[in-house]
Amino acid sequence: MGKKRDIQQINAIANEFHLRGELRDSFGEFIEEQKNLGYGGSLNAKRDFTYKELRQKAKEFLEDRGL
Amino acid sequence: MTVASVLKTPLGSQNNHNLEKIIPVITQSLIGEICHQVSFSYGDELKLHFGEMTPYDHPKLAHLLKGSWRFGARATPWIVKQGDRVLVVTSESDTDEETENAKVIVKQLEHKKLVDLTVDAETIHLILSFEDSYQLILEPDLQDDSGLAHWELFMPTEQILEVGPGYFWSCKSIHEPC
Repeated sequence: MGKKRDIQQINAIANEFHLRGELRDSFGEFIEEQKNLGYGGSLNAKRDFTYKELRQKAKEFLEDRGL
Repeated sequence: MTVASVLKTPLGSQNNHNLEKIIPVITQSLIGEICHQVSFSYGDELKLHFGEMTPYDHPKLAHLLKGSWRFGARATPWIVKQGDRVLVVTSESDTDEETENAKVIVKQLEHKKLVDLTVDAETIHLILSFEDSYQLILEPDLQDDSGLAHWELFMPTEQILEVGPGYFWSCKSIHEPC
């Protein structure tokens, strides 16, 4: 429980896009919600995301916030 | 005030002692709060929401609520007990079925009042005790080299308390660079 690789990737991308504190937390929620809404990634059958897809989602996350 | 610079603590037995004493002080206001919601973030990270529940700021998350106190277990496995009975023990190698089962069981903490929070100075084991004799226990791997915190706590004061990796811990503004 608590998939280290997934959480590490979220942290790495959050650092790259300067998502700190609340924003980093919200980004993790955003990614999970994207999966729940059917906009998951291509990594596996659970619709997890590749690193490249997570970077793209980070851009969407920021654009949606108007940042 | 840069709380991190005051409280960021390196490895050392003296500092471990501080951790055991200071963390209950920092989290004192959390005791007595109700766990309104148990949720899971990306990577199946366990989140417990306490305090005032408000919508997320992000427009695509506005239908979701977050607590003014938010506990995140990061990638640390956890145990749920009720009295002497172990309800579930999670691990990094859990199957999808085991993960889904654990998610259902830990939901039993919803609507329970937190009655105590303790950290062991030597092992960094964390015990969150709830009413009706429930306990959520985290037993971090001090040798873990992932660079991730063992657990974190967002607080209504716009601060984040992070414990781990190893014996490191910090309490700083959520607006401060990582």
